[in-house]
Amino acid sequence: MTDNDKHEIDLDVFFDDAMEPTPELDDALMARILADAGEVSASRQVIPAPRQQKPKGWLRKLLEPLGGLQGMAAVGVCTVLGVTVGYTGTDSLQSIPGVGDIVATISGDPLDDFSYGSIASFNDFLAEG
Amino acid sequence: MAFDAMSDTSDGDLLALYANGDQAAARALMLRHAPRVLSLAKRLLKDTVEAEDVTQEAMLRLWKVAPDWRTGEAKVSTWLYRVGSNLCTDRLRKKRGVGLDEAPEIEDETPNVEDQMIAADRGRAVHRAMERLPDRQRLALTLRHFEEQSNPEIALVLETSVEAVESLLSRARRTLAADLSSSRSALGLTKE
Repeated sequence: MTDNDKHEIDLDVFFDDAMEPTPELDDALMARILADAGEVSASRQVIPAPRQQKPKGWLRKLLEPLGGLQGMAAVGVCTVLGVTVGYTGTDSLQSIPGVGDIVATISGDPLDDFSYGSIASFNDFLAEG
Repeated sequence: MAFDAMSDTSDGDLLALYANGDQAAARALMLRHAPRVLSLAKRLLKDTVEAEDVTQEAMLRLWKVAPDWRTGEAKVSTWLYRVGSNLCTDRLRKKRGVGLDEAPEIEDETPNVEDQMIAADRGRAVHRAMERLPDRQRLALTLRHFEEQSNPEIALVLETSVEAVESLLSRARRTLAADLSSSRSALGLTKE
């Protein structure tokens, strides 16, 4: 039993009579709807304006020829390292992991193993002409 | 892509195409859904110009959500019915200046032509009776009987439970039947 059966009248008859075909869209309404669709699409494709760069400060301008802040940082590190090596010698570098081996390899006199015996002296050379 | 080639394309795919700038997809969506929104709005508002405005606004909202549309979460038709019915309700509230279920009876401006066919009289009678229903009952009844939506679909449109929809429909039918039964003899509406 449906709801309608409970009522004294048959509502389905009313609904059938009140049924109307789905309305068609008129041209003007279609044009309005499609214009909206086009506008929404266009607004999505607008390219955002490029971000305005902040004006450079005097410090930035001063450091720019030297490589900027990064360049100055590298110069600073090298300076500290140079001063340290100057005061303490290469021994202080050997305690740094990874650097110690390199320092050990290149430290000392590179001519220690070099033999002068095979080269004639400069005086001999001058004497022989 | 041509419109003819889109007749088998799902709503979700059409929305994705439109979101990527395909205006033919927008046209396909409009032809598929706007007439149903217009039909609902005309029934609820009884004003063609306003119904067209509501249809345009509902479609505009669809265009705006297209890039964020998640296929499978909602049916486009249900979503549009919900947006359309909300827009209609807002307009009815503004017109009446009262709450949703406190709406007074709307004056019927339909000319009563006695020599029209009985069926046409029945149709007008049911429209008049439906206008006296509270908005949510009228909307549920319209979706059920004129837009042929299922109860679960109506529940999605009204953002309520299926049980609540059944209750709304039941109350609406009772009220409608009581209203119409008073004039049934004049309209030759007695049940065999």
